[in-house]
Amino acid sequence: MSEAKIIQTLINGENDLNWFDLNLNRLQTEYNNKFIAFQNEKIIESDPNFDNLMIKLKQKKIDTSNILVKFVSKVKFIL
Amino acid sequence: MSTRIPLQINEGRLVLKSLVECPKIRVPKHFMDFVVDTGSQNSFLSSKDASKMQIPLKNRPIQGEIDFGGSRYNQVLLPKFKMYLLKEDNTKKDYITLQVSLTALKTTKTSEKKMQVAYMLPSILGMDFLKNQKLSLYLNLTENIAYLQFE
Repeated sequence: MSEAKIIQTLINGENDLNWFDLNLNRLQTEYNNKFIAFQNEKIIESDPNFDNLMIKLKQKKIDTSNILVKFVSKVKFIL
Repeated sequence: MSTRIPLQINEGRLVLKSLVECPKIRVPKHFMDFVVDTGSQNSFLSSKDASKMQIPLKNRPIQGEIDFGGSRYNQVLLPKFKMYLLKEDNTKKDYITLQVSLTALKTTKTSEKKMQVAYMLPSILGMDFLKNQKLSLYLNLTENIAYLQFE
């Protein structure tokens, strides 16, 4: 991977995380208690079960290296 | 000025965005985010991220057990990861690379519910990360500014 590609991948990921944060309220309503996979500011797949989500992504032959997966819930998670 | 690595303040958590890879176990570059947690002594790769990166945890050595997020996990030893981080620079985009020690968290529970809870946890960069990389942490919640800086 070239230096330019590394920088672009980091910027794209940063943009996707910013998009997730900005749209969290809407996502909590639409995908409450689900894992969501997203990239380029779009939801690719969702499922309440993480393993099932990964199977769905595999079936669609989606490269998981640059997608983000988050659990979305209206309930806050305390570490 | 020393190199600064910007952090995002997300719902009261400090988030570091990175690309990570581990050629020794054939893990190519993956984009992922870590929570910087000064309350954690150690750094961990979450079950979710380990699974997404297809890291084979079976038959790998276990360092010990740890309680995290209300459940118990095995700490699975992994080779060092190479981490790529964007530098804070207003004039041009550039990055730095670090060699980072991470263990993977693998739940000791087998129930479906416990396993799903394990997948909800984020990957963590703890105090060992700051110490080993000789990084200082600057945080100003009033101004919404957070970054890491090399000492």
